[in-house]
Amino acid sequence: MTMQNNQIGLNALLELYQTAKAFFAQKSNKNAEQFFGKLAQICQSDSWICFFNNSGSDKTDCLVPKQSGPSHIATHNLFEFLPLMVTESAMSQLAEADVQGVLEAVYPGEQTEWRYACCFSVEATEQDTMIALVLRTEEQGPYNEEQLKVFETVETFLVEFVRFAYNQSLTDNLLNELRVSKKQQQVWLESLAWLNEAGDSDLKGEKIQSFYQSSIFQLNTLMMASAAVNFHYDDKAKQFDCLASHGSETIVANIQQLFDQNVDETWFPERKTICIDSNNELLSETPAFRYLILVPLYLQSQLNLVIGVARTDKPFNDREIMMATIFAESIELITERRDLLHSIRKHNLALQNERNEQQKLIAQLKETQQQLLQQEKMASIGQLAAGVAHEINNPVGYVSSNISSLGNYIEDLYEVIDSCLAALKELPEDNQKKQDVEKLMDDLDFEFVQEDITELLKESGEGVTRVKQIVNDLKDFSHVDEAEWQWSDLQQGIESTLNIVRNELKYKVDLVKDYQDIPLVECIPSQINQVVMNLLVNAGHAIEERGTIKIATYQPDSESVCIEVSDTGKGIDQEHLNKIFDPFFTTKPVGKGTGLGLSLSYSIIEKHSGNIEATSVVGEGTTFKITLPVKQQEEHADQEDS
Amino acid sequence: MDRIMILDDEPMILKSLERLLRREKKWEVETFSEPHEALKRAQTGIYELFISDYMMPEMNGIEFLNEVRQLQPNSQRILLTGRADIDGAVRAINEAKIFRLIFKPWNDVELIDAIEKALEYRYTLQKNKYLMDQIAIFETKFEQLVEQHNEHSSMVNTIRDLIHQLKK
Repeated sequence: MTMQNNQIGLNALLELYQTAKAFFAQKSNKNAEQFFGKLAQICQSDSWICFFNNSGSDKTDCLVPKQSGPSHIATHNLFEFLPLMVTESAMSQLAEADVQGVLEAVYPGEQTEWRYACCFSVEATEQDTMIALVLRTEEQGPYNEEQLKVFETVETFLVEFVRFAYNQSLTDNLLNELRVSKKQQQVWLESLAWLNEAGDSDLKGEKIQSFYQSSIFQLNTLMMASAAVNFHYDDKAKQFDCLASHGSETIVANIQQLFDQNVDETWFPERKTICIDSNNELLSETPAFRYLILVPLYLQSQLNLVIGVARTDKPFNDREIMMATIFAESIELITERRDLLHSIRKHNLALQNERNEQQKLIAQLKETQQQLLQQEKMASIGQLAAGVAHEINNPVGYVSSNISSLGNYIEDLYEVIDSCLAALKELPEDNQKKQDVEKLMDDLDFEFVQEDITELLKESGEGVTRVKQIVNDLKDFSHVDEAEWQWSDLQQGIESTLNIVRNELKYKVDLVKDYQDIPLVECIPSQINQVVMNLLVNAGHAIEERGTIKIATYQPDSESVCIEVSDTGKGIDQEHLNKIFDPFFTTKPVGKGTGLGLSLSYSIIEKHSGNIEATSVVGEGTTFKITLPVKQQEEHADQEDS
Repeated sequence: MDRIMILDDEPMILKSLERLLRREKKWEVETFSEPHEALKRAQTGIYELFISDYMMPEMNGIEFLNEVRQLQPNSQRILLTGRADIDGAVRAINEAKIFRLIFKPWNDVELIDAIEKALEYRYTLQKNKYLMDQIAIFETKFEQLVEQHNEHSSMVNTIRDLIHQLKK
């Protein structure tokens, strides 16, 4: 709408407002054409020229409409005119000569038809100024006073409006930035939360690898970067290996090349993030990425990882660098934590192992203690036995001898009595003395006494003999240490032992021998024979009517020799089996056996560092198995000589 | 009759042994329970046989028998001992020239046998010594006679050889 009667309609102003807003939001050619075209229209002008500078730029842009559309003109030579135009704070019409000058500069070499121009000057901010010229042809004639007055109002309006629009667009920008910032903060918080969770877990073994991968992915997203990488520094080989990467392959390859060729320890003299852009002197060739930040991470004060983030569009601002550093340092903490956990786990394992070893040792010690106790017990019993035997010896000796003497005396006495009785017989029956004696004999039960005395002496004698035998066995029991070690043929020993017991066994026992090849054995032959004798005697006693005794010798391995004595006798109860080697344990009736035979055998075999064990089935028979080492350990043989 | 001295610190044993030996009716037996008393007696009375216990509080049997050997070298000696006591004393036993070891508790028959053998041995030794002395006296007398009568017959040489054989 054009001006009617020098007044501008509301619609026209509205359109001017909208186009101006669009132009100041974005200074595109199209928006320029719309705005300045409208302005020219409102000002009843034919054409326009405008000058403006983009905020932050030193250059002044000049737009002129052409057939093809508005176009920019280089404006160097227009600087002369600008001062002219802007010092006039009020709306003004330019002098014709000035107009010519501008036109010549703006349309060089072209014939133009415009003669008259008015200048609008709008200052949005100090940096943002716009100057618009509206042009009129010769035909249209110059602008009159009234028009100029209206233009002033328009200029005022424009100024106010532009300031407002400008501020609004600033606000919009700020709001946008805030939104982006808020969004970024959201992403940042999410990243931190993710880090927290990921770092919380064990990260054993391969899990650390997937953590590195995921964390680099996160970092890349967080920083809105083209690529992110995680390199590990091998201190010994002095080189970097890529642990994880994400983003553009080209850029990653570039970074890899950088790490292979250029990067070394000296790049990171201290714990500080470094920023590299593509024309940094540390680079040997220009890389694909434009901006790269590298964060060094340490483990126990040694350079461990380097996290890198690269971007091609815009450089990293301080806040972004800080974010990247914090994120990377969290990775460092998590790595450290994992390392510590690993250490702790290892130590725990070592401690556990030690503890297990110690437990085993304790068990061993306990067993040894038990063994020692047992040995001591046996030794004390031995000592006790020796002491008792010694004490008993003398009284047993003289009692035995006395009983013998007693027997002799009684024989003598009875000789006297007999001859007296014979003499008595010759006296007549009615002899008083004879009758007295006969009565006395009756009262005192003489016949019975005479018979019984013999029994008495016999039984007492037997009793004392038994005691002597016990004393003997006791002495043997406590004197296992005596006698000489020799290399002996066990089978020969068994044969000679059989000779001794043959009498006792021959009526009820079938003897079976199974002698396999065995080597000579280092032992005390008399003692081994004693053991075999004991086993044979026991076997004989176990068989009630008839049975078999089997003697076997064999070599189970290169270091030992076995003797087995089995019988088909009545067997041993399971509950007695583990007591049979106890001293004085016997299941024989009182008076038969001392209960010392097996415990003595046990001592002897133990002295030989061997083993004696019994297996039995009640009603079927018993087997005793003796295992002896072929050769004794050094200490044994030496002990004997000392 | 041969005389036997028995030494043991336990009186019961002495009585028992005395009874035993008495039955044989061929020996005179004296018993002591105190070694020093026994030694004193050995200085004034002659005994053909000494029997001693080994384990005694004041002096052990081997020491006693050794002493007694020096006092009465013509006697025989028997040691009574429990088996446990005697370890390591074998050398001492040999030095004291003890005829036999009898272990306690003794077997009566074995003991009597040992005593008889000891006395027999003693008698034989004595007899041997006596005979040696006799030969020496005879040799002297013989040489005197040979010198006096200037005899050089072959019989003289035969007798000389015989004497030489006997002295070996």
